[in-house]
Amino acid sequence: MNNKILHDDPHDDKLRRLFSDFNPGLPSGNASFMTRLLRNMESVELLRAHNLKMRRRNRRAITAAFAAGIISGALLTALLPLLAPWLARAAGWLLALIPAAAQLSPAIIADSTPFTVVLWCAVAAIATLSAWQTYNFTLSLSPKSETEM
Amino acid sequence: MTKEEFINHVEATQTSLRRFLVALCCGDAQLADDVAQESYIKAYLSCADFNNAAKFNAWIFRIAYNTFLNHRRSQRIFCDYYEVRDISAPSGADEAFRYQELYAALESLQCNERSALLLHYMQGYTVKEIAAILDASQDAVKQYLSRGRRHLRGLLATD
Repeated sequence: MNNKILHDDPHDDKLRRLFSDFNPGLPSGNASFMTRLLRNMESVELLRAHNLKMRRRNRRAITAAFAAGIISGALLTALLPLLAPWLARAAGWLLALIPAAAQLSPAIIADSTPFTVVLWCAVAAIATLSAWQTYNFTLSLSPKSETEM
Repeated sequence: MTKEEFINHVEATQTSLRRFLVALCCGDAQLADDVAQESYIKAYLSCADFNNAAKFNAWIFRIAYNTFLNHRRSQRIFCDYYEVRDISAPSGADEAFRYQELYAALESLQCNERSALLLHYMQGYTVKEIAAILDASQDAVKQYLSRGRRHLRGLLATD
Protein backbone atom coordinates (compact mmCIF):
# COMPACT_ATOMS: atom_id res chain seq x y z
CA MET A 1 0.00 0.00 0.00
CA ASN A 2 1.28 3.47 -0.78
CA ASN A 3 -0.02 7.00 -0.95
CA LYS A 4 -0.54 6.77 -4.70
CA ILE A 5 -3.37 4.30 -4.13
CA LEU A 6 -5.06 6.69 -1.74
CA HIS A 7 -4.86 9.82 -3.81
CA ASP A 8 -5.35 8.52 -7.38
CA ASP A 9 -8.45 6.49 -6.59
CA PRO A 10 -11.19 7.87 -8.89
CA HIS A 11 -13.84 7.11 -6.31
CA ASP A 12 -12.01 9.06 -3.64
CA ASP A 13 -13.64 12.33 -4.73
CA LYS A 14 -17.05 10.66 -4.74
CA LEU A 15 -16.60 9.54 -1.15
CA ARG A 16 -15.28 12.94 -0.11
CA ARG A 17 -18.38 14.58 -1.59
CA LEU A 18 -20.61 12.01 0.09
CA PHE A 19 -19.18 12.74 3.52
CA SER A 20 -18.81 16.48 3.06
CA ASP A 21 -22.57 16.61 2.37
CA PHE A 22 -23.18 14.42 5.42
CA ASN A 23 -24.89 16.53 8.06
CA PRO A 24 -26.94 14.33 10.38
CA GLY A 25 -29.46 15.82 12.75
CA LEU A 26 -28.41 15.63 16.37
CA PRO A 27 -30.93 14.64 19.09
CA SER A 28 -30.28 17.82 21.04
CA GLY A 29 -28.76 21.22 20.43
CA ASN A 30 -25.24 22.13 21.53
CA ALA A 31 -26.56 24.13 24.49
CA SER A 32 -28.55 21.27 26.00
CA PHE A 33 -25.66 18.84 25.34
CA MET A 34 -23.36 21.19 27.25
CA THR A 35 -25.91 21.56 30.07
CA ARG A 36 -26.10 17.78 30.45
CA LEU A 37 -22.30 17.48 30.34
CA LEU A 38 -21.82 20.22 32.96
CA ARG A 39 -24.28 18.41 35.26
CA ASN A 40 -22.29 15.19 34.82
CA MET A 41 -19.06 17.06 35.52
CA GLU A 42 -20.56 18.42 38.75
CA SER A 43 -21.45 14.85 39.76
CA VAL A 44 -17.83 13.88 39.09
CA GLU A 45 -16.65 16.74 41.34
CA LEU A 46 -19.06 15.61 44.08
CA LEU A 47 -17.70 12.06 43.88
CA ARG A 48 -14.11 13.31 43.93
CA ALA A 49 -14.78 15.44 47.03
CA HIS A 50 -16.55 12.52 48.70
CA ASN A 51 -13.69 10.09 47.92
CA LEU A 52 -11.14 12.56 49.26
CA LYS A 53 -13.14 13.03 52.45
CA MET A 54 -13.43 9.24 52.91
CA ARG A 55 -9.69 8.74 52.29
CA ARG A 56 -8.84 11.41 54.93
CA ARG A 57 -11.31 9.87 57.38
CA ASN A 58 -9.83 6.38 56.91
CA ARG A 59 -6.28 7.68 57.20
CA ARG A 60 -7.14 9.37 60.53
CA ALA A 61 -8.75 6.18 61.84
CA ILE A 62 -5.82 3.97 60.75
CA THR A 63 -3.27 6.35 62.31
CA ALA A 64 -5.19 6.40 65.60
CA ALA A 65 -5.55 2.58 65.53
CA PHE A 66 -1.83 2.13 64.85
CA ALA A 67 -0.90 4.47 67.72
CA ALA A 68 -3.34 2.75 70.10
CA GLY A 69 -1.97 -0.69 69.20
CA ILE A 70 1.66 0.37 69.68
CA ILE A 71 0.97 2.19 72.96
CA SER A 72 -1.14 -0.59 74.48
CA GLY A 73 1.38 -3.25 73.36
CA ALA A 74 4.31 -1.27 74.78
CA LEU A 75 2.47 -0.61 78.08
CA LEU A 76 1.55 -4.26 78.54
CA THR A 77 5.10 -5.36 77.69
CA ALA A 78 6.51 -2.92 80.26
CA LEU A 79 4.03 -4.09 82.92
CA LEU A 80 4.51 -7.79 82.15
CA PRO A 81 7.27 -8.41 84.78
CA LEU A 82 4.93 -6.92 87.43
CA LEU A 83 1.82 -8.75 86.21
CA ALA A 84 3.39 -12.15 85.51
CA PRO A 85 3.53 -13.38 89.15
CA TRP A 86 -0.13 -12.42 89.72
CA LEU A 87 -1.19 -14.12 86.52
CA ALA A 88 0.84 -17.20 87.41
CA ARG A 89 -0.94 -17.36 90.79
CA ALA A 90 -4.32 -17.08 89.04
CA ALA A 91 -3.29 -19.80 86.59
CA GLY A 92 -2.25 -21.95 89.56
CA TRP A 93 -5.75 -21.60 91.11
CA LEU A 94 -7.33 -22.60 87.82
CA LEU A 95 -4.97 -25.55 87.26
CA ALA A 96 -5.65 -26.76 90.84
CA LEU A 97 -9.06 -27.83 89.55
CA ILE A 98 -7.27 -30.39 87.31
CA PRO A 99 -5.98 -33.23 89.54
CA ALA A 100 -3.00 -33.96 87.25
CA ALA A 101 -1.77 -30.36 87.43
CA ALA A 102 -2.68 -29.68 91.07
CA GLN A 103 0.93 -29.88 92.34
CA LEU A 104 2.24 -27.17 89.97
CA SER A 105 3.34 -24.13 91.97
CA PRO A 106 2.93 -20.53 90.69
CA ALA A 107 6.73 -20.25 90.38
CA ILE A 108 6.92 -23.31 88.14
CA ILE A 109 4.01 -22.05 86.08
CA ALA A 110 5.60 -18.60 85.66
CA ASP A 111 8.85 -20.16 84.37
CA SER A 112 7.15 -22.52 81.92
CA THR A 113 7.25 -21.93 78.16
CA PRO A 114 3.52 -22.49 77.53
CA PHE A 115 2.68 -19.86 80.15
CA THR A 116 5.09 -17.38 78.52
CA VAL A 117 3.57 -18.07 75.08
CA VAL A 118 0.05 -17.58 76.44
CA LEU A 119 1.12 -14.29 78.06
CA TRP A 120 2.58 -12.91 74.85
CA CYS A 121 -0.46 -14.03 72.86
CA ALA A 122 -2.65 -12.22 75.38
CA VAL A 123 -0.55 -9.05 74.99
CA ALA A 124 -0.89 -9.28 71.19
CA ALA A 125 -4.63 -9.92 71.41
CA ILE A 126 -5.23 -6.97 73.76
CA ALA A 127 -3.11 -4.65 71.59
CA THR A 128 -5.02 -5.76 68.47
CA LEU A 129 -8.37 -5.36 70.19
CA SER A 130 -7.50 -1.86 71.41
CA ALA A 131 -6.37 -0.91 67.87
CA TRP A 132 -9.60 -2.27 66.39
CA GLN A 133 -11.78 -0.47 68.96
CA THR A 134 -9.85 2.77 68.42
CA TYR A 135 -10.36 2.46 64.64
CA ASN A 136 -14.13 2.04 65.02
CA PHE A 137 -14.33 4.82 67.62
CA THR A 138 -12.37 7.27 65.42
CA LEU A 139 -14.60 6.50 62.42
CA SER A 140 -17.72 7.12 64.51
CA LEU A 141 -16.36 10.52 65.56
CA SER A 142 -16.11 11.72 61.92
CA PRO A 143 -18.86 14.17 60.86
CA LYS A 144 -21.90 12.41 59.46
CA SER A 145 -22.46 12.75 55.69
CA GLU A 146 -25.63 14.33 54.28
CA THR A 147 -27.04 10.95 53.39
CA GLU A 148 -26.77 9.31 56.82
CA MET A 149 -29.94 9.13 58.91
CA MET B 1 -5.57 21.71 31.85
CA THR B 2 -8.03 23.69 33.97
CA LYS B 3 -11.77 23.12 34.05
CA GLU B 4 -12.41 26.31 32.06
CA GLU B 5 -9.91 25.30 29.36
CA PHE B 6 -11.52 21.89 29.19
CA ILE B 7 -14.99 23.40 28.74
CA ASN B 8 -13.67 25.66 25.97
CA HIS B 9 -12.21 22.64 24.18
CA VAL B 10 -15.50 20.77 24.56
CA GLU B 11 -17.46 23.65 23.05
CA ALA B 12 -15.03 23.76 20.13
CA THR B 13 -15.12 20.01 19.42
CA GLN B 14 -18.58 18.82 20.39
CA THR B 15 -20.30 19.30 17.02
CA SER B 16 -17.68 17.46 14.98
CA LEU B 17 -17.34 14.71 17.59
CA ARG B 18 -21.09 14.17 17.81
CA ARG B 19 -21.46 14.07 14.02
CA PHE B 20 -18.60 11.57 13.81
CA LEU B 21 -20.23 9.42 16.50
CA VAL B 22 -23.64 9.52 14.80
CA ALA B 23 -21.99 8.12 11.66
CA LEU B 24 -19.97 5.62 13.69
CA CYS B 25 -23.15 4.47 15.44
CA CYS B 26 -24.86 4.20 12.04
CA GLY B 27 -27.56 6.75 12.74
CA ASP B 28 -28.27 5.93 16.40
CA ALA B 29 -28.10 9.55 17.53
CA GLN B 30 -29.09 8.84 21.15
CA LEU B 31 -26.30 6.27 21.49
CA ALA B 32 -23.91 8.69 19.80
CA ASP B 33 -24.74 11.38 22.35
CA ASP B 34 -24.39 8.94 25.25
CA VAL B 35 -20.97 7.88 23.94
CA ALA B 36 -20.02 11.53 23.51
CA GLN B 37 -21.05 12.35 27.08
CA GLU B 38 -19.14 9.37 28.45
CA SER B 39 -16.08 10.25 26.38
CA TYR B 40 -15.99 13.83 27.62
CA ILE B 41 -16.39 12.67 31.23
CA LYS B 42 -13.49 10.22 30.81
CA ALA B 43 -11.43 13.03 29.33
CA TYR B 44 -12.42 15.34 32.19
CA LEU B 45 -11.23 12.76 34.74
CA SER B 46 -7.78 12.77 33.10
CA CYS B 47 -7.57 16.39 31.95
CA ALA B 48 -5.42 17.49 34.90
CA ASP B 49 -2.55 15.40 33.47
CA PHE B 50 -3.17 16.41 29.85
CA ASN B 51 -1.05 19.40 28.83
CA ASN B 52 -0.93 19.24 25.05
CA ALA B 53 -3.86 21.48 24.08
CA ALA B 54 -2.99 21.20 20.39
CA LYS B 55 -3.67 17.45 20.48
CA PHE B 56 -6.99 17.69 22.29
CA ASN B 57 -8.98 16.84 19.16
CA ALA B 58 -7.08 13.65 18.43
CA TRP B 59 -7.16 12.74 22.12
CA ILE B 60 -10.92 13.10 22.48
CA PHE B 61 -11.55 11.23 19.24
CA ARG B 62 -9.39 8.38 20.50
CA ILE B 63 -11.33 8.25 23.78
CA ALA B 64 -14.63 8.37 21.87
CA TYR B 65 -13.54 5.54 19.57
CA ASN B 66 -12.55 3.33 22.53
CA THR B 67 -15.78 4.18 24.35
CA PHE B 68 -17.76 3.26 21.25
CA LEU B 69 -15.93 -0.09 21.06
CA ASN B 70 -16.78 -0.80 24.72
CA HIS B 71 -20.45 -0.08 24.03
CA ARG B 72 -20.31 -2.24 20.94
CA ARG B 73 -18.81 -5.19 22.84
CA SER B 74 -21.57 -5.01 25.39
CA GLN B 75 -24.32 -4.83 22.76
CA ARG B 76 -23.26 -7.33 20.01
CA ILE B 77 -26.11 -6.56 17.62
CA PHE B 78 -25.56 -7.64 14.05
CA CYS B 79 -27.65 -7.00 11.02
CA ASP B 80 -27.21 -7.72 7.36
CA TYR B 81 -26.98 -4.70 5.09
CA TYR B 82 -29.47 -6.07 2.58
CA GLU B 83 -32.06 -6.77 5.29
CA VAL B 84 -31.76 -3.26 6.67
CA ARG B 85 -31.75 -1.69 3.23
CA ASP B 86 -35.13 -3.17 2.41
CA ILE B 87 -36.82 -1.62 5.45
CA SER B 88 -39.05 0.93 3.83
CA ALA B 89 -39.00 4.47 5.02
CA PRO B 90 -42.07 6.66 5.06
CA SER B 91 -42.18 8.89 2.06
CA GLY B 92 -41.51 12.52 2.59
CA ALA B 93 -38.42 14.30 3.73
CA ASP B 94 -38.03 12.61 7.12
CA GLU B 95 -34.69 13.74 8.54
CA ALA B 96 -34.23 10.47 10.40
CA PHE B 97 -34.28 8.40 7.22
CA ARG B 98 -32.28 10.75 5.05
CA TYR B 99 -29.07 8.86 5.51
CA GLN B 100 -30.59 5.42 6.04
CA GLU B 101 -28.75 3.84 3.13
CA LEU B 102 -25.40 5.31 4.14
CA TYR B 103 -25.90 4.14 7.72
CA ALA B 104 -26.83 0.67 6.54
CA ALA B 105 -23.70 0.56 4.37
CA LEU B 106 -21.54 1.79 7.24
CA GLU B 107 -23.08 -0.79 9.57
CA SER B 108 -21.85 -3.58 7.30
CA LEU B 109 -18.23 -2.42 7.60
CA GLN B 110 -15.92 -3.53 10.35
CA CYS B 111 -15.46 -0.98 13.15
CA ASN B 112 -11.87 -0.17 12.23
CA GLU B 113 -12.71 0.32 8.53
CA ARG B 114 -15.71 2.49 9.39
CA SER B 115 -13.73 4.57 11.87
CA ALA B 116 -10.83 5.05 9.46
CA LEU B 117 -13.17 6.16 6.65
CA LEU B 118 -15.06 8.59 8.85
CA LEU B 119 -11.93 10.06 10.39
CA HIS B 120 -10.39 10.53 6.94
CA TYR B 121 -13.37 11.77 4.91
CA MET B 122 -15.46 13.46 7.59
CA GLN B 123 -12.82 14.90 9.87
CA GLY B 124 -9.96 15.24 7.41
CA TYR B 125 -7.36 13.42 9.51
CA THR B 126 -4.22 12.11 7.84
CA VAL B 127 -3.20 8.46 7.92
CA LYS B 128 -0.64 9.22 10.64
CA GLU B 129 -3.23 10.96 12.83
CA ILE B 130 -5.77 8.18 12.28
CA ALA B 131 -3.12 5.61 13.29
CA ALA B 132 -2.60 7.49 16.58
CA ILE B 133 -6.35 7.65 17.25
CA LEU B 134 -7.03 4.01 16.43
CA ASP B 135 -3.79 2.82 18.04
CA ALA B 136 -2.81 1.00 14.85
CA SER B 137 0.11 1.14 12.43
CA GLN B 138 -0.03 3.43 9.39
CA ASP B 139 0.02 0.42 7.06
CA ALA B 140 -2.97 -1.03 8.90
CA VAL B 141 -4.85 2.27 8.53
CA LYS B 142 -4.14 2.33 4.80
CA GLN B 143 -5.55 -1.18 4.56
CA TYR B 144 -8.65 -0.17 6.53
CA LEU B 145 -9.20 2.80 4.20
CA SER B 146 -8.63 0.74 1.09
CA ARG B 147 -10.92 -2.11 2.19
CA GLY B 148 -13.54 0.25 3.58
CA ARG B 149 -13.64 2.25 0.35
CA ARG B 150 -13.98 -0.94 -1.68
CA HIS B 151 -16.83 -2.26 0.48
CA LEU B 152 -18.63 1.06 0.69
CA ARG B 153 -18.32 1.69 -3.02
CA GLY B 154 -19.64 -1.79 -3.77
CA LEU B 155 -22.59 -1.51 -1.41
CA LEU B 156 -23.69 1.97 -2.45
CA ALA B 157 -23.18 1.29 -6.16
CA THR B 158 -25.61 -1.69 -6.21
CA ASP B 159 -28.57 0.60 -5.49
